[in-house]
Amino acid sequence: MAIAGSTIRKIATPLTFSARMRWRYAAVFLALVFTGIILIAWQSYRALDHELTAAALSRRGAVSDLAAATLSEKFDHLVDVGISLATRVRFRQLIAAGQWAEAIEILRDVPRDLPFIERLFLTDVEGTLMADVPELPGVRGKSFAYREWHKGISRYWRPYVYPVYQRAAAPQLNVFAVAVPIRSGDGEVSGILVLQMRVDIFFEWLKAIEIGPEGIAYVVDPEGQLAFHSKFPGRNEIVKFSAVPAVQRVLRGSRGVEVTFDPVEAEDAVSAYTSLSGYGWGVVVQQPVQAAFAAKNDQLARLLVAYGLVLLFCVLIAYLVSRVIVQRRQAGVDLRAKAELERRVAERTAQLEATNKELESFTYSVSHDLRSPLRAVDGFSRILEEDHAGVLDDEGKRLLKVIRDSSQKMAMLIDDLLEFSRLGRKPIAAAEVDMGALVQGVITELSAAPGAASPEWRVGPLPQAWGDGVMLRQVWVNLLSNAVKFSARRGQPIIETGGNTDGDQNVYYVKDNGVGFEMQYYNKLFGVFQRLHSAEDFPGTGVGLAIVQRVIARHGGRVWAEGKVEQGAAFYFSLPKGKPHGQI
Amino acid sequence: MDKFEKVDILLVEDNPTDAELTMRALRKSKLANNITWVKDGAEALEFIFRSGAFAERPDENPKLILLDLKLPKVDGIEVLKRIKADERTRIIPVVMVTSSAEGRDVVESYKLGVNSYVVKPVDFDQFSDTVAKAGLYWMLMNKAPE
Repeated sequence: MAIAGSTIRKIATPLTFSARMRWRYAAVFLALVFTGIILIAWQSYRALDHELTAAALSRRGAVSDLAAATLSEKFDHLVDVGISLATRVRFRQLIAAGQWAEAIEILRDVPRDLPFIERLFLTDVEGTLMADVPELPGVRGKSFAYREWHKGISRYWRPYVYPVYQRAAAPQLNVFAVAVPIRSGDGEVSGILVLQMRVDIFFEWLKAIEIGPEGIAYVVDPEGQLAFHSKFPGRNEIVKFSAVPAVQRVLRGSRGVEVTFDPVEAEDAVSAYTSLSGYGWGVVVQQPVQAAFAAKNDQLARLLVAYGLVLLFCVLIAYLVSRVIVQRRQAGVDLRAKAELERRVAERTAQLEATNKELESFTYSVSHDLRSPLRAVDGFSRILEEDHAGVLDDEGKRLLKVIRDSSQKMAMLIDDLLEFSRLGRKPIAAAEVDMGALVQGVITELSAAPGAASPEWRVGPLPQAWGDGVMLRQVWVNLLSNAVKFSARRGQPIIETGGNTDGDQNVYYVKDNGVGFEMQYYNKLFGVFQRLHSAEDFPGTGVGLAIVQRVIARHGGRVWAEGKVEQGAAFYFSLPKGKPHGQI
Repeated sequence: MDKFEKVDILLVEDNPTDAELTMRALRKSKLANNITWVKDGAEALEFIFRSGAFAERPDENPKLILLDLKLPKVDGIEVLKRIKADERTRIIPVVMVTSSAEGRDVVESYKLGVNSYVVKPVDFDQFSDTVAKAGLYWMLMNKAPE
């Protein structure tokens, strides 16, 4: 196993290295792809942010433009009304004639017909109020030359929409006015018609304009005074708003949208401002940044979530792909390691086969070459004995016998050793073996040998076996001849044999009432050339039981024994009932 | 012509002690009148096919060839093959006499048409007995085809 382990490591190391390189490339590639995706996403996010911001701003600008356009239209309308009233022929004649009371009579129904006109009055060129409708007490004859409107109109004698002011007469409402010069037939200015409107009218005019949640809209006059504020529609005092940057810009006649800090509302706001061209007034439409960009932020947040999901999906895909790749690579490594292992096994097997072949030819040589000199030793000793017996005394003859016995003993050793090694190499020719018949045959053979002992044979039933008949016969020969040999000195030797089936094993045994053996030497019992008895008492080479063990082991079985000195021995062996799995 | 006498038995044996023991065994059985002993396979082939040193030998086959298996130069199996492959020599009885009891040698020899296969026992008495029996059988009891 240690060899196999190191083999796998050896194979796996270069693979892992190149795979690691490939993995690194893949990781870099993935990182690049992800960076690309994130960059594109970030870019599009930025672009969308920009677009949505621009859209929000332009929406605000459109609102302020719409408000300004509405106001301009209303102002135009007021001026038109003023002009159409001031240019009536009869009216002009009456004014030119200084008949103020008659002239105002013509206009008496106007506030009723045009409800947005709170009041109208006539002044002379100097600004002294000559007549009004509806009439207010204590104003007729009063000079209003100090009023801004008078300064405004007397500069160019053109229709003039003038800033908000508090009316002098009660109720002292905040009003604004349109002043129109009244010209006589020759074009001389002979008086001024003033239409006075309450600033509340702005609310009416602008209420249709959608200023959005938390939005405010206000109108400033050329002085920077607040004419109308959507948050405080009924406010009475006049507030100067000229410190507000948007107001400063709108009064300079410009138009724009900007995100600034509004000192009045004390917050960052999106302010759109549009001036009313020709009137010097301005409209500011404003929304806190948060509210103005709420829709945009919502949309962007949704986009971010979508991007996040896409990215998560990509990461998941990448993870799964990498898992598959890793698994495949692992499988590849395993396959290659396995193939390499198999190659090595085949290599080793070939080596072993070669070694086996060598061993075979070695034993062949041994069988041939060792026997020849032995034969010579034996043969020439015999010749010496036969041809030269006359010159040998008894001791000489005894010595010759020792030589012959020894050479024959050695021949037996060689034969047994060869037999033992042959049994290890020979393939098992497995077939059904009738153990009963086999044992009977062996017993007959043993009994027929010249000078054989005649023990009492007790043969029990023997289950059929699966194995190599020739080899199994050798097992029985060895076991039974041992039993005969070691029980021969008993008065009545008894040899018992039998078998039974134990699970998936058949167990066979040979028992004798012979000399037995000491269990403490049990471990030597099945060793080659191991003997527990002297050769003098019991001849033998010590290979018989080793052969038994080898044959049984090759059949997938087991051999064991029990014995007691002078109380006999029992040898058991088991064999698998079916075909053995492989060879040992 | 005196150099080559009538040959009854050709003994092919590289081991001189084995050869001596074999000849002694044959002698004891009164079969040793005309034994020729050659020491290797090449010499055996020269003798059998009357070439080389045996070119002048009369054209007469030996009555029995005792052939050792393991021989220098040309081994016993090869010699057997050549004898059995030739029309003129195929009828000569060949007995393999060898130390080897290896199954493959026996099978190979019989495949090639050996007439008998004898394993030399180490025990001299058995050896003498075996050689004598083989010699007697093929020389006297078995009627060789004319």
